[in-house]
Amino acid sequence: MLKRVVRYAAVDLTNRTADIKEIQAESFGTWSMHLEEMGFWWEADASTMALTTGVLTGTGAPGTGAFIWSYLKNGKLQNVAAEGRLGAAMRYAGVDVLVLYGKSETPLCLTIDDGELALTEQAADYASLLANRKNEDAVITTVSRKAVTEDKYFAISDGAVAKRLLDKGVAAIVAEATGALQVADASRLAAICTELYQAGIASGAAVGSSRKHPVRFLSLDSAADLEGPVSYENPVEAENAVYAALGIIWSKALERCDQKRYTAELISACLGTPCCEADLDVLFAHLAELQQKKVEGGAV
Amino acid sequence: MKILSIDRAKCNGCGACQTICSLVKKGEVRPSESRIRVRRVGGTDTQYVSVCQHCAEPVCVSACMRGIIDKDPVTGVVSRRTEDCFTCAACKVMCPAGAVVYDSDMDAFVTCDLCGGDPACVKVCPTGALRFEEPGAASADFRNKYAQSILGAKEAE
Repeated sequence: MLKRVVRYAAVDLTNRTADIKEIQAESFGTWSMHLEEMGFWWEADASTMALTTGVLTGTGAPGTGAFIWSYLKNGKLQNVAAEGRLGAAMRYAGVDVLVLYGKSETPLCLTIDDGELALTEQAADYASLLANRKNEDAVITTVSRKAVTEDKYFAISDGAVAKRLLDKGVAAIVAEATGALQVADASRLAAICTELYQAGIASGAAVGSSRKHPVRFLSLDSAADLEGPVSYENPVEAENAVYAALGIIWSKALERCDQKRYTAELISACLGTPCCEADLDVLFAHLAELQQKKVEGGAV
Repeated sequence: MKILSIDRAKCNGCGACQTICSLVKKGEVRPSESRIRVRRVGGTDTQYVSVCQHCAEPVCVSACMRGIIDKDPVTGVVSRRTEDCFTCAACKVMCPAGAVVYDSDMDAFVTCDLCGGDPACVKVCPTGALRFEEPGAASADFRNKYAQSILGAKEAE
């Protein structure tokens, strides 16, 4: 009932190879995968990093730019939520989850394009990557000690994630976003999205418009400052982290909406399988339980 | 005839218009083939929205080598017979708005058709940057804002 087919890309940074596989994941393929179906990654290599999109990531509703970084710390899986174009672009390019294991001695740029992954030693500064991208929809993320930054202005991780990526030799990730995401009922999904955007507009709480403050992808209230410093802020409060795992960060402009009901309806429209609020209650309880689980991580 | 007016000063690049357009017109989420696009030619700080303006004198009509693009004299909508398109891209090259998009399912170049008079993108635009209105209303609004900025008065909401 809570199943989802997940396309995951296993990237071996030591040998510079990548492989995309499909798995049938339980719990809609949230971070539960990293402790259940894919737990072997962390057991084999404790420094493994994952970038996981949710079932709703990139589907169009407000807040569906959500994705999650995961890594092991002191035997427990840490999940850092982010909002931006990277997760959506990955899904359009044919990858739902990125698993990075091993380590490269030289900084690498990972490119995801139409179901293919490539690891190269090209210059990883934003200007060079911008000049060399294949198309203007490409999402360019660069990694510094401070944060992973998307499209130059949006911080999509904290320093802990960024440092781990740099230590593994990942200096940049480019997702060429020219593909598509198939959904079961596009008309129904479009109708729900429209309802939510109009609710956000009616609330008056959506972020104001300004060309100096571009917002994150599909966000109603998270904007960057083109003239200010780039810094990461956790976009979710603890109790809403489970929604982020499903690929949606509920905006303050939509706090009057029945978020659980709408989440269930969005999932039904995307997957074509019935999903109700009771299903989400089961899922949320399971994810909360998993967060206490310890993983026996292997040698780096 | 109503037009799809874009107030670029209000657009914050959220991309809602792009995703809803692809859902409505293609039945999937494929923003790169959406008929309204957030263009990022120079990166995030130079992004802008481009969509067919249904020009009064559309260059694409004369550029089309097959003569399949027409402007309706009553509604003013510029439309095309996509089944006869052989993707020469002349319309795309000549379009001043950069609004012509290749549709891989149709194997043809397409443009916004205003969703039959009820554009989906307008309904999801959170900032009001997209409006579907009479040209006079759009023009009056822009003239009013310009005049007030010149006079130093507060911008009307």
